[in-house]
Amino acid sequence: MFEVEISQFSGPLDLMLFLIKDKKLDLFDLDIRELTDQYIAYIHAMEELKLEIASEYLSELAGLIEYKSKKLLPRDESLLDAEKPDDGPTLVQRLIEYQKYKEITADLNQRYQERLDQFAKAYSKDAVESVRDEVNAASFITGDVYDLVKAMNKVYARFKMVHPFETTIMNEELSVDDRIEQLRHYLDRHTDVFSLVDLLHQSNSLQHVIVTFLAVLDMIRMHEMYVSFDDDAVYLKGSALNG
Amino acid sequence: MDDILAKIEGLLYVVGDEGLSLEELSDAINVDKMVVQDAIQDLTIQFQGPRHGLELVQYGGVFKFITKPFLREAIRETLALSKSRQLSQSALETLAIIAYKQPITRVEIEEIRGVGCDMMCRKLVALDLIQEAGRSDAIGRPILYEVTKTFLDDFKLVSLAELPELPDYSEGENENFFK
Repeated sequence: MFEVEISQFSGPLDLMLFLIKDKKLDLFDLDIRELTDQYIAYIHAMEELKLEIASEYLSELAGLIEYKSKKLLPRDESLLDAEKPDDGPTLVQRLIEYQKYKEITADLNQRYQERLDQFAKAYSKDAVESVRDEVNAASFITGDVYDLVKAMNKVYARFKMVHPFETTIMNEELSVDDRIEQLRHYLDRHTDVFSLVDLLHQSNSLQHVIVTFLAVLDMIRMHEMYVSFDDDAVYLKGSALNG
Repeated sequence: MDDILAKIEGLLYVVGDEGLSLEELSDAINVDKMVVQDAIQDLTIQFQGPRHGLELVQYGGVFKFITKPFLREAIRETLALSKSRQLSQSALETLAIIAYKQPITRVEIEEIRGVGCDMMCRKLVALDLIQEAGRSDAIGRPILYEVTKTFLDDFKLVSLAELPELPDYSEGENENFFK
């Protein structure tokens, strides 16, 4: 019986490589029949454990059975002649190609872990603020949702750096609608461009940051606010609708 | 020369993790790139000394100061940092394929991995580890992906040329294959 779970494999090719290694098959002279049988046994074992099997595993299984059936069936000579020389890479070629990248991930992860131990400081706050004044209103509404997500991640990271220690829990529950109402008043008073970072800096809890962020998204959607991106910085401005 | 070193140090301090490229430094202090290059080298060596907690690196095409590895515990404790962000095996595989084969479409990545990579690609874009690099000429004009400067920085790479060499299995030896 297999003692491993399918979730520990990153895909069907990973599972096949495991089976080849575990059953001591020779990859460079691969017995497809044996591999197929092992693969099917594995999938059955998973089914018995009522584990969810991703469709990719079944699609590769179909491919394996096709390989296997080709080997089992006596072939018609005429069909043999007509066989296309290039059916794409063979299974073995695919396994070898996949293994290359799988193996290099250990090296990459090592580098990644080393880098996590080394810290850089953020761009100096004073310098960011002076750049903000130069933002040109003509560049409004550029960038896409991912820019916004990226910017939000950055803001959140900086927020955490400014508030690195544990703080007291706030009981205040603020809804997004309440926050939109507050922001409308804020826009009445602030007609100039302001940065998302500054706005979120006024929040004193993570919940408040999230509610503010959702409110900003909603207001952009309702055209009550303009948004613009300059590298990682996000700038906001109230629209004429508001007022 | 000391003057140039001091200027570079100050500028790199202000920009922090954004860093500055050789061109930007050269423009900023109005000195030829060759001179800046030499100055950077001097500065790098000076900071390697035991009296400095920072080191000067060039990851993703920009120079920046980062803390030395031995400070990690002190920093984590002081800032009460929780466990740092880890990348899953699937994410690392996808990144490896993109880094070595870029620009590459999602379908090409899926052919190598044998699994759907749609969500993974979106996630890596959101993490700013990969980005769109135009469109392929193939049917449907699929998006091409490439790795970002953040990727280079996160994996301690000056450029993609520094990536470790992929293993070569052309010998066809089972023993080599499964180490």
